[in-house]
Amino acid sequence: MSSLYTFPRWSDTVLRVALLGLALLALSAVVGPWIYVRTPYNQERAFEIAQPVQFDHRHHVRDDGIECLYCHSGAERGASAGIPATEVCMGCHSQVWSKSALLAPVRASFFSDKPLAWNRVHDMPDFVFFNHSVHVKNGVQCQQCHGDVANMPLVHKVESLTMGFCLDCHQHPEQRVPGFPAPVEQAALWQVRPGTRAPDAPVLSNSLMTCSACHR
Amino acid sequence: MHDHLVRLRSQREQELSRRQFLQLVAASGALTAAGCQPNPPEQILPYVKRPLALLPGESTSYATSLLIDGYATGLLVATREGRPIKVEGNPSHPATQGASHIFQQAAVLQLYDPDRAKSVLQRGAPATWNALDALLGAEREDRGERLRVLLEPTSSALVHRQLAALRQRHPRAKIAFYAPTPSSTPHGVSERLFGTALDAHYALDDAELIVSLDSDLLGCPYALGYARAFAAGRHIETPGSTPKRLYAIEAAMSDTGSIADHRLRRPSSRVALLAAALSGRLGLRASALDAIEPRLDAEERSFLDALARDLRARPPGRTLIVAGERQPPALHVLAHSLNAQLGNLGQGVRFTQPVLAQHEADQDISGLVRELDAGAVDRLLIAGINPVYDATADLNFARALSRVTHSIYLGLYANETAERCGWLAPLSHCFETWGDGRAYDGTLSFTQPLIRPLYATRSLTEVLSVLAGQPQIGDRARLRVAFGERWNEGLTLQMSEAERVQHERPEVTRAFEAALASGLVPNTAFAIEKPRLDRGAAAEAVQRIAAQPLAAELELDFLRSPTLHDGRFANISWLLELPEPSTKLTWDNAALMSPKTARALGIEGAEPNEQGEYPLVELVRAGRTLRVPALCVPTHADHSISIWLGYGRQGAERLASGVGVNAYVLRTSDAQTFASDVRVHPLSERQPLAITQLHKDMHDRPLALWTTLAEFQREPDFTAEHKGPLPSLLPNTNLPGQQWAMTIDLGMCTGCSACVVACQAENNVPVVGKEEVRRGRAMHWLRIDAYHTHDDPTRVIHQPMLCQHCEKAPCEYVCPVNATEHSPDGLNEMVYNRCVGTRFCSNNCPYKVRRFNWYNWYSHESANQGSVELQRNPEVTVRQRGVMEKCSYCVQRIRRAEITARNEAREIGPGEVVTACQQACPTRAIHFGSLQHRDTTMVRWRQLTHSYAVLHETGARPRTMYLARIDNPNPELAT
Repeated sequence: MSSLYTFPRWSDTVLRVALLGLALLALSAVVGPWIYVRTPYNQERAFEIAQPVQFDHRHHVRDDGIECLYCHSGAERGASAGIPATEVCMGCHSQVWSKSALLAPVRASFFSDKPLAWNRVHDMPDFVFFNHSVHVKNGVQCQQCHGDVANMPLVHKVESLTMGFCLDCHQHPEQRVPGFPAPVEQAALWQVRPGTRAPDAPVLSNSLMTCSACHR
Repeated sequence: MHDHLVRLRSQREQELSRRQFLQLVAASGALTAAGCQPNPPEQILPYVKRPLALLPGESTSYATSLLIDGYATGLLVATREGRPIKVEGNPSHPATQGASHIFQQAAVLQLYDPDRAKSVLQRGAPATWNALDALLGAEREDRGERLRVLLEPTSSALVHRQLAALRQRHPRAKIAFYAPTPSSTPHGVSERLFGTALDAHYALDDAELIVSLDSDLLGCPYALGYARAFAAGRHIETPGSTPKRLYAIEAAMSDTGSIADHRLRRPSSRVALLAAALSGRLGLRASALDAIEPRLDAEERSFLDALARDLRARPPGRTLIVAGERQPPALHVLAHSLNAQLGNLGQGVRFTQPVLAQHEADQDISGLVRELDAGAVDRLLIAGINPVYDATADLNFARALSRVTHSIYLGLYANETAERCGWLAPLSHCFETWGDGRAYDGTLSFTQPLIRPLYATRSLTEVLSVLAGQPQIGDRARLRVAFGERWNEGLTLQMSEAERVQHERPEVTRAFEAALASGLVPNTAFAIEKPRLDRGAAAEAVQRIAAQPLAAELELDFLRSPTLHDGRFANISWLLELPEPSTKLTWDNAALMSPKTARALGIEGAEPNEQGEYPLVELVRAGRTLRVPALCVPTHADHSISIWLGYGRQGAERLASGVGVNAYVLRTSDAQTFASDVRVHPLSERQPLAITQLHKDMHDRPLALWTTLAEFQREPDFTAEHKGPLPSLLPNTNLPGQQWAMTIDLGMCTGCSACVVACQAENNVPVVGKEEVRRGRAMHWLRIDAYHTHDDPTRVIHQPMLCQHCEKAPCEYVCPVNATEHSPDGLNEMVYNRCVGTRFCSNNCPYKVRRFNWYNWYSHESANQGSVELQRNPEVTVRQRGVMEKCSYCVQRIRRAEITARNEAREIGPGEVVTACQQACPTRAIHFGSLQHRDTTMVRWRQLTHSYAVLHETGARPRTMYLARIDNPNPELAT
């Protein structure tokens, strides 16, 4: 008679499994997104981006030994590294591979005066003000943020370019950038210069770790 | 009991049911999830052929000039990817010296104005330039007998050359110049004094004492060097300094009057009378003086007595008497005669050839109207001006215009005149054309295009050259040909391009290129003439002044709007929303009057009611009436009402239409600047006005410190309690490295507001519209507070107020999300992405300089939309709804300078960072820099005894410090 009011024995197991499942569900609701935002998928690192011209960095950089700055000349001088103007492409390709079918869109752009529409690979949010020149001039290598583009048939994002990625380096640039003076050495540098700065002050611009360094 | 139950039940009914709650949760959750989209893919479109000087992402500045009232002002315009985005003064321009005014700052917004005329229209239907060229360029049988040209006075040599060519082709054509409001000495003054047309210039550097007779010398939008020279001699370093002394007599508060040591409030028609009485005190003998003296009141007598004694006590040539352009020629004659008597001719007052060359006109506008009415004109070209709107009412220009067979309007907008003309020809903006002009001192300045014409527009010279039958070779080539003439290069307009290139001499080309690069031709200021003065002119002028009838009980003053000029800038949203310097009125004009006048007129409750509505009055003059809100301003003269011109537009300019009322309709040819025969009827209705600062009394609180030189000498450290260390619980803020700070000299600020517009342009500050200004939601990061003391409401002190970047900022510790933080270089930073809009920071800010985005102003307010979006500064975030914002000390400029310095492996130097407000300031009242650069003016000013921090007692330790305003009143007049 008691069986009417008693659950079978296995129902305890069901309850325990269900409770564990609930706990796991709750945990995964937190951990899941936490992991997801870090996946290459979410950070758009997993995709090679198709381009209007089948441009191969391997050939230009590795085989021909062209410097990054030859085409992305703004990287040293301004905020934006820039995509080369069509005439830069045509500088060589009016002479070599001048009849290649792969270069037809480039020639079309040059002669019709219509720009090529390249697809952006490294898309910083609009509220981030990044300046290439100050990084390049202070010894940051292109590869540190853009990866080994020289070996990419189609360029894809390698680093996450999240705020954490930037701050890792801004906090301890001497660990990331070869030849960047450590804070102690920097202080020494400033001691010999007849400046007004206190000798124990870091040489790094005050603004390296502050919000307005990148957000204005 | 029953009531209580009913109340409970109705409360229950208002509450959410569980079902509704779950529905809302589900819906909002779904929306949140749906709103989470990855970044939309972006494309990069590089140049096909990159212009050499252009690096994408970097701004480049070009020297050019902008003509205001016909006078050139030297500018540097920053362009990004070929878009002009910011105007600054050109520091190497000898006349304007890097200063700019609100009109120059706002010119870039006018370039992108969506309401600009974009294509040729004939009677409102689309037409082509070719059709118009055929009409304008046609050969004429009548040698131009029935051809007329009406344009605004201009200093452009290129325009005058075209006019000369036009006269050659059509010898009987007539040219008239017209400006609705006077901007320089009236015609005929120097002719009477010297027998020849000359321009007066004022050298304020050496003047110890300046008398302004209704002149806004320091607020002049083109002669910006005046304000700079005055302010330099006004700055006080120690109690031993001897600053200039300024007396002003005027009706409505002007920039000049606001900084005067003594300001006598008198109706404009009385100014000449007072000047005549002053001349008597300075030794002029004229029988008419006896008639003038009894007409003065006691205050005027003591003012003039003291002024005359002060003038006589100064060494010869160290004083200056300046008559306002609104005043009749007799006063100008008298003022120059007094200057001669005080030894100022050739010293403080110098005469040169006239810059505007208006004497070349064949007729004036009334002569033209007579001919139009008689049907004697078949072709009329009107360029740039708007006479249908602003010509005096008795001329009835609209009616005259309808009698012309072919009327062609060339202008930026399809305005009132364009609508009544047969043809509308769109004019290129100054930033789209090649051209030239002369600054007020005669310096030849060049205009070069910063962008190709946005629409199918043409410049005035291009249109005139068609009329003159000249070859269409482009303005640059025309400029080059004209430039070569000084060198006898032998280029002509008729040459082909190849021939011209052949004839061009390389040294001339080099000089031309250099002139274009610097924006001016050096050493081209006009030589100072030494004319012989007719000594009899003064007595005659006094005679004429004395003959004027006694001033009426009430006078109506027509003033150019301090923010919209004569109406030509009426469609620029920045200027519509710019608080007028002394009343702080935006988006409207009003009948300004003193409280005493309002009481005398029986205007009930001239104070606003609870809704912020002001009583309407009806102004009646010359058979026309105007309903306008009455605004009491204690600074205004009694027995006088002022009204700004430039409002009440009815053209196709969308922002301007419906803003304010058109006061031009009350103007007649015999009373263009002030009128005595006005009647005022108080009405029972009311109208809201958008005023950004309603309360101007300081109530003895130490906000804008203001004292006299004598007081300062007695107590040099009177600001001691407003600075220095205070105990604080917060951590020490003695930070190493560059520490940014600002110092503002209140003694130099005229309230002109160039800084406000410059800040708006630099920092993408949106416009919010009249209704939202009334709700206190104006977004200006930098405002200028106008205060008066509790004892004397008739005088004003201006205080630029912006984020003070407090070292112990009260906003920072109340922010729950760390959206406002302190940077190691002393900036109070605002991180828009973190802000959740609690507005605690604004509540806790003692200076009330934080601005909240109640809407996404860029989509909510139409004034921020359309092609004006092209003006936005790409270096500054465009803020969204729900975030707080405020002055950042132009942090984008600081970081720019830091990056440049780091790239060059050096430390940032003094003077490398110039904020937008500092750059624009005509008087250099604002200085910015790092506290580390101890040799700079900014740091030195902070160490002066009269420096102070506003609301120092709060312990916020603001980084912005002020210098107290120290007036130099005449001890004889001190009360």
